[in-house]
Amino acid sequence: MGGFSVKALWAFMRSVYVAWRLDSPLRHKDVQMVIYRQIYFTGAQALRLIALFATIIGVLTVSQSASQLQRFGGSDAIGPLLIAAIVRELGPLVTVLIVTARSVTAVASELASMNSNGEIDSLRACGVSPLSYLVVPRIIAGSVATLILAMHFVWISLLVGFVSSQLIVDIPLAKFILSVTSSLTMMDLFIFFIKTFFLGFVVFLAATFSGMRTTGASYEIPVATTRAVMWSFMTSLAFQIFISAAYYLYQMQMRGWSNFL
Amino acid sequence: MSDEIVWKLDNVRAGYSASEDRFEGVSFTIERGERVAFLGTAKSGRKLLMKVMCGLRPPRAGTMQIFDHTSGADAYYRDWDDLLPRRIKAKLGVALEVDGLLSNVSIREGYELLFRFRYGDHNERLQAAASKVVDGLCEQFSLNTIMHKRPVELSPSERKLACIARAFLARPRVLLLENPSENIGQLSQMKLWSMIDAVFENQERTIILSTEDFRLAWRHCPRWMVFDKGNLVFDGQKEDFIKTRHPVLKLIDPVLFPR
Repeated sequence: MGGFSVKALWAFMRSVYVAWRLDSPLRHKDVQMVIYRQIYFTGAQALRLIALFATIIGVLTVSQSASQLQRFGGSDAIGPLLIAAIVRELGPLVTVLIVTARSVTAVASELASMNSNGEIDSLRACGVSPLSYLVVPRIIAGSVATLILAMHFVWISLLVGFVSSQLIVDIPLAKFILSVTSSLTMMDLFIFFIKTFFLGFVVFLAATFSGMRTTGASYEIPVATTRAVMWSFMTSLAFQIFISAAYYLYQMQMRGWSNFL
Repeated sequence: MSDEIVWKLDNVRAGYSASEDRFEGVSFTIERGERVAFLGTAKSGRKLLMKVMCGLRPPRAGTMQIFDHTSGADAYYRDWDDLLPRRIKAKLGVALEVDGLLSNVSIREGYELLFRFRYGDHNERLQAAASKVVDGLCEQFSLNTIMHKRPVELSPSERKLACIARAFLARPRVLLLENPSENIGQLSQMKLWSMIDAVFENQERTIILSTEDFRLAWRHCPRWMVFDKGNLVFDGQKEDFIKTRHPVLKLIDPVLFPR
């Protein structure tokens, strides 16, 4: 199993290296600059907003659940609850909703207005592929930035969850950390990374597609923005439900159906 | 003028929507070194024809040969970024009616970006070459005062000039200009055309000028193609058009030949 993982990792790194060595648009400095700028705008500039939402969600989750768990003597279950609520579900979902509100709207309206101003036509006429220069870098950067923001969301939520749990129920730090870490499986982390990265991918795909789909009239800019937001909400919710359902079905299969019935 | 074919359109149709053709069955041949004016009023189909010719829109029927590359109606179902190969696009200098200057960078940065995409940015020699070419272009078009400004800070005439200058970035073999006199004063126009003549002197480069300005076309293009409601109604020497009894002559006669 370990040997297989090393081989798979090596094959992946080699294919990335080969793609990089070839005349890939991602090697182009201007394309890289678009990626850095998009990560800065979507990721770095949203850190404080994400921290605020993570704090609110962390406090609400713990305050609503910890007191109830203590009444029934189940304060040990705070770890699995936080993992299930924040790492698997709320972290990716809330992050992607904030990203949609901040960045998907910006990307869709930017591309639609570029289309309206004839910038995309002029790039095409000069031999620059808008797909390589405008679309692909934004999707890559958006996916990476969403992943970074979701990680930021999770650690702040867990930290705030611990602090607020001290105010509501008296759980020692060591017990809290043990409860959280023992509940966190590799599968949880895998689901978190896959879900967050692909949610970012899907919403930025919707944003760029919607922005590029306009025919050039200025009245289409708000239409493209609204369409991108609606597509992002619907696709991200559908993807979230699909992954969660698949995960719980997998868990049922692993633990045996009888434990759930 | 050489016999090398630059464009050969055979019964080309195109439209903005899937159900409507803006022009129908256009056929003509343009050879190397020709100076051709596409003339016509609004809704004549000139704008779309220019887009088809420089690979921004696919033809819906017919075939278009550009240099040695032929594209047909099958292009409609391909990625529109690939309607023309890059080696063909490198031969074209295009300045459309909407200037399309990149709004988030300065004029100079926009030029350098296009240069880097065309020739690469793999080493310092290419980067130095990009700077040199852009400096030369800004000098030639007197853009030194505006080259560090963004398009939003420029006047309409400066934007137009910057757009036309961009068409010269790759030393094109063919220049396509759409309404180049729009927003540009008389003196700037004369300066611009003397510069174009200087650049293209003795080089047998093709110029295609799409305009409503018959006086400009009279001065610079011996061959005229006149479009009316999507049909090519005249293709020949400008003097021959004057001999026809086309209704538009009533409008342009006093413009060309003021009494």
